[in-house]
Amino acid sequence: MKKLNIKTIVLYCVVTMFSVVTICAAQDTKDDIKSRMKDRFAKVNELKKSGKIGETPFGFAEAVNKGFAQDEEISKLITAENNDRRLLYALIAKESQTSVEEVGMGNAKRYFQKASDSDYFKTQAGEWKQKKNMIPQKP
Amino acid sequence: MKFIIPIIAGGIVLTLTGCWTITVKHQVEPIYITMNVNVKVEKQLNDFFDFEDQGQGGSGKTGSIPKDKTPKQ
Repeated sequence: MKKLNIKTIVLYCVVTMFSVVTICAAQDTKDDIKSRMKDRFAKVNELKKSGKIGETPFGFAEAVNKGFAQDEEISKLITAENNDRRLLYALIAKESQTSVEEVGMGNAKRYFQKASDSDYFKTQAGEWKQKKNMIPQKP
Repeated sequence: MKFIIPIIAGGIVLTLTGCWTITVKHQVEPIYITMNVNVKVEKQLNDFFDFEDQGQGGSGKTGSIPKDKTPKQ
């Protein structure tokens, strides 16, 4: 019984230390994420303008077709961008006491509002459309 | 016997009033909380992505005018 208690205490200490390290590491990642996304922004923007990548309704970047998805450079860029977005959404969700999905959809809305007419967006049905073809045209 | 009808009527009135109060609480609060969270998330996202507006001008943005470039009336 005594042995078990010591084991439990040691396990508790390890878990607590791991939690503290994780929390400390998470606190300074927002600046790190921003720095990485800032460095990547020009390239991501260029690919968006050339119609190679677009935005999903859940706030993530994706190749507009399979051909672009197979391009190693584009694929790596998308993966890095989405990994950072996922971390960011999790941090904001925690701070705002909401879900990661909610933050992602909020960012998708923000991207849509700021996009040019030629930028691509994925519809809920999984179809890629340019912004100009998604907004109802005025007579 | 003459008190039975007023007691039943009072009971019905209290029950209906109680139901009405619960319905109002459940309809109003979630809307307020959702709006508050959405505004908070939107602000945090805008603050984080402020670098998109600096120099690059976003992805050829058409939706909004930067604050410092707002034309004077």
